[in-house]
Amino acid sequence: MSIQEKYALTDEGMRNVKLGTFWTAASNLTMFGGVGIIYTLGSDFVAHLTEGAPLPGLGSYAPAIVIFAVVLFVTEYLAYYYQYGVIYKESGRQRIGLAERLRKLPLSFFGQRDLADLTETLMTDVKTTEHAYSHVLPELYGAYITLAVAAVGLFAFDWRLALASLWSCPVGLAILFGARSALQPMMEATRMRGLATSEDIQEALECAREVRATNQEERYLEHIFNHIDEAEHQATRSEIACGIAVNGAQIVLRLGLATTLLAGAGFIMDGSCTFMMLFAFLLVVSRIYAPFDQCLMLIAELFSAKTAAARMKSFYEEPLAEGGDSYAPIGHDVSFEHVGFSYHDGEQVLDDVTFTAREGVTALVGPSGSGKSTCARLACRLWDATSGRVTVGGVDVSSVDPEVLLADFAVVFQDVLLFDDTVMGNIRLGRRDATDEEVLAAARAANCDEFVGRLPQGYDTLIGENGSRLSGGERQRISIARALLKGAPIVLLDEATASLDVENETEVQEALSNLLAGKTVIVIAHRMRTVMSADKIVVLEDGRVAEQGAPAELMAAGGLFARMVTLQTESAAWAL
Amino acid sequence: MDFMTRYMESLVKMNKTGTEYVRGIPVVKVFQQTVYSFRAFHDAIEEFTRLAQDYAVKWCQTPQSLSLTVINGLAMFLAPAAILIAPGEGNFAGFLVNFAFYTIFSAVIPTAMTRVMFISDAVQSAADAVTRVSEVLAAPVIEAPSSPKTPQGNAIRFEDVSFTYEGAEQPALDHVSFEVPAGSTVALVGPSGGGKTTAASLVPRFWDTGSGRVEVGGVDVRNINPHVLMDRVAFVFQANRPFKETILENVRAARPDASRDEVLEALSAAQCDDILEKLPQGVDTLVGAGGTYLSGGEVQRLMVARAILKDAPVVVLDEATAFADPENEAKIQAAFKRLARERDGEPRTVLMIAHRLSTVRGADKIIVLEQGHVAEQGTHDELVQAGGLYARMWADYEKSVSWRISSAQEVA
Repeated sequence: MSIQEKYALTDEGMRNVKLGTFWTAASNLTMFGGVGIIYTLGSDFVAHLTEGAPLPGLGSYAPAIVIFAVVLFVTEYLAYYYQYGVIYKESGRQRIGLAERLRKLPLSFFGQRDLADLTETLMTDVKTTEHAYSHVLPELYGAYITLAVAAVGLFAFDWRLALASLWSCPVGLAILFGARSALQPMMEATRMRGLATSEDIQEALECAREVRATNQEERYLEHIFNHIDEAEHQATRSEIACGIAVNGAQIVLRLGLATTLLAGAGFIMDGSCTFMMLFAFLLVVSRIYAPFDQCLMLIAELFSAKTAAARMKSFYEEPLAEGGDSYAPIGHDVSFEHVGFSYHDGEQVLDDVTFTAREGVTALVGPSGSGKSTCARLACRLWDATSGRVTVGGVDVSSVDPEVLLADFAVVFQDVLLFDDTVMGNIRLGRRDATDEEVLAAARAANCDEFVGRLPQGYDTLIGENGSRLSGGERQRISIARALLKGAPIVLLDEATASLDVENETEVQEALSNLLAGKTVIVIAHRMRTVMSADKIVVLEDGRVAEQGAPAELMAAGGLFARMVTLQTESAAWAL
Repeated sequence: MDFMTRYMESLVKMNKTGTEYVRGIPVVKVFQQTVYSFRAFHDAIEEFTRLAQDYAVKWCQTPQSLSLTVINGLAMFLAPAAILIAPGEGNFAGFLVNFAFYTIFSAVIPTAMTRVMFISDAVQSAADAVTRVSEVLAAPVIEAPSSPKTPQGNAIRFEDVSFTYEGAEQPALDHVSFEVPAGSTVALVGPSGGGKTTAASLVPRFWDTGSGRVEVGGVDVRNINPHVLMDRVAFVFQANRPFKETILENVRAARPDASRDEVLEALSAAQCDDILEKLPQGVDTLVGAGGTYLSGGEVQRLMVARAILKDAPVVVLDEATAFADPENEAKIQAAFKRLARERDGEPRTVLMIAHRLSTVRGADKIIVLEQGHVAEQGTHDELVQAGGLYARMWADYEKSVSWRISSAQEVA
């Protein structure tokens, strides 16, 4: 697997890695220019000492020193640029790419992964790999190149001293990379524990009310504290292990200096080596290790980068729902033909469901868990049926790209999803290019004027994360306005008016019936009033169609539907 | 360091909008947004990229490169220094040895500096993190009373209560006063956003009133030991979240020392038998990821079971029947009836918020809240006669009920 693939880099990102490596190596090698100056100076001093040669003057050295300083600065500057200056753009590109890919993935992908995990991939994983390929790799490969060049030189001068000085490099690096198989699982364990702790805290924050109301605070906190302790221990263990490996490698590396000294001293004593030769070796060898330092410090990141990169790639490896780029439906009837659906764990949610929703209102009713919401999702291909087929206007939906298909659908979900934006902004999500007037018209139809008038900045008021500053009914009305704005020919309403009080519901119902004329509307509702005015009712029970027909027919038939209506009428009369 | 703060803020913003984006993917898909049009996230990424890039290039590149040059190129100082010092040295051999030593030793410096650089980076981000933590720790807490008093009896009383949510301009409750006599059932009704949920949240002190007092048993709730308060009052909320535990544990949370039988009894009383039947592990099934997902109506019934098990003398019910399908609704209504049943011969005190005006009809007193004010209060009959807001709401409701019944009858 090439580096580009391994770290999920774009072409430009890869180019930057190569350039970064080049300039890092260049700056390292320039450093040896400085060594050359020192060496020459040293031999001048020795000559003065042993042969009485004149002392060198500043003038003869000045040009060399200045050139050295300038070249070093330039190479460091460029190395820095490619290591730090351009990476953020690459990370930005990666994040945007991942986010785009994510939104194209079928909803079934989201069922298996959890929110915190996916967000972490977008945020932290990108950062981890960013460090790895921008700093670690160029430093590491730069160091290898430097080492190689220096080694060639050293061996050329004196192979015995070269051996004495360079043996520690492969050994030190072997220790480090050998430790990887022990370190990697530890780092993964640390990450998992950290994630568990975040999830705990997230849950505690969400359930804060329930926890306090049931006097469970101590128990809950204890639970979280335990997880935090575990996470801490795991992190400590991991750090120690990593520290031992990294520092151990650094120590071993520098043993080469000691052996060079010893060997060199020995060779000088038996006359096979000169002082200047040893001096030169020591100068070079002492500087070979420094380039490895940077990447050794970051080696932990290199290891965890591998897992991070794999997670990022999983987004790209997950297959998209395939389909044609365009489709030509004839009309907008939504038809279910012997549709079956089950989740991954085998629970059969729908079994041989057949019905057609024509222009007008079709209501899906049934006890909870009977599969109504699932039908809505299958209709617009948010999920794919496991057997049978769903057609829209006569076209099998599985042959159409979900993006294209969704253009014809407007959906109001049961769990309202809003964003921390203005009321206007949230409604405008329905149709990006809608004019202000159109947005306001949709809002009015959904009875939003009533509460927006009371907000401090009216339609420009921020509504908080997931609309937390608004009540349930207000959030639902915004969700309805958003769907209305889209003006799609097929509308799916999943419990759209459930949170609305009587007054609001009446007004919204009226507006809806005006705006939804001529469209295919599939409604999932529990309030019989909504359902009674439908053109057709499909009763689902345990994933099967129990009855279907016009409300009048079903009431006359006296079956499941008639029973449900009676039940609700009775319970409406129930007093406390 | 102002820059570091901006950088961290930008990072936090990117995380927040990223989380929103991921959570909102169904909406993003359905309304055909892309990451480009989902401005908040896209802009946060761009801003962060720009900040980080600017920092790296504009602020750091030159100083960093310079310092690296100096550190790695010590030769440029050592050489001139040695050249200048040399002529004055008496013991030249000694000088030479020193020279050799320093030129080799200076190789250590880059290593040491690298460590220092890493540490200073870490210290900076730690400093910023500590600031954030201090902010959270400095947030005002709901004070537990220093000398708690015991509530006498089970009445609830709101006395001239006003409350405004942080950052809001209009008060959610404005000089609200009403009484729930012990053993009576009082219903809070009114249009959405009128303050009903807010009022109910003040009883368990999820918020503290801005002015005025909320009393339980004659004692200001702020003076009651929080544990005692929570023991005395049972709550069933809107938008319930079960804990990620078994159903048994979820219900038992109200009274951890309850026996398994008692829990099963409470579940049965809350009409949850059908839920348990369809789960293979019954009451020992885990709720949530890794276990089973329950619908809104089912979770609500579990919460009622929890409240029943708790057997508290005061009950506060909030919006409990919003999501119910007819089957669930009938069951929930039966569950509530059971919950409000007498306890040791004494009727419970019940404060109830509902949308279903029909359920409210039998209450001892009805309080109509509109935009944070008590618009009207009285029994159902009194209010209908008075011909005000309640009467109008009731008329609307009757229309819808009769319409339903008539169309059902017509058709039958």
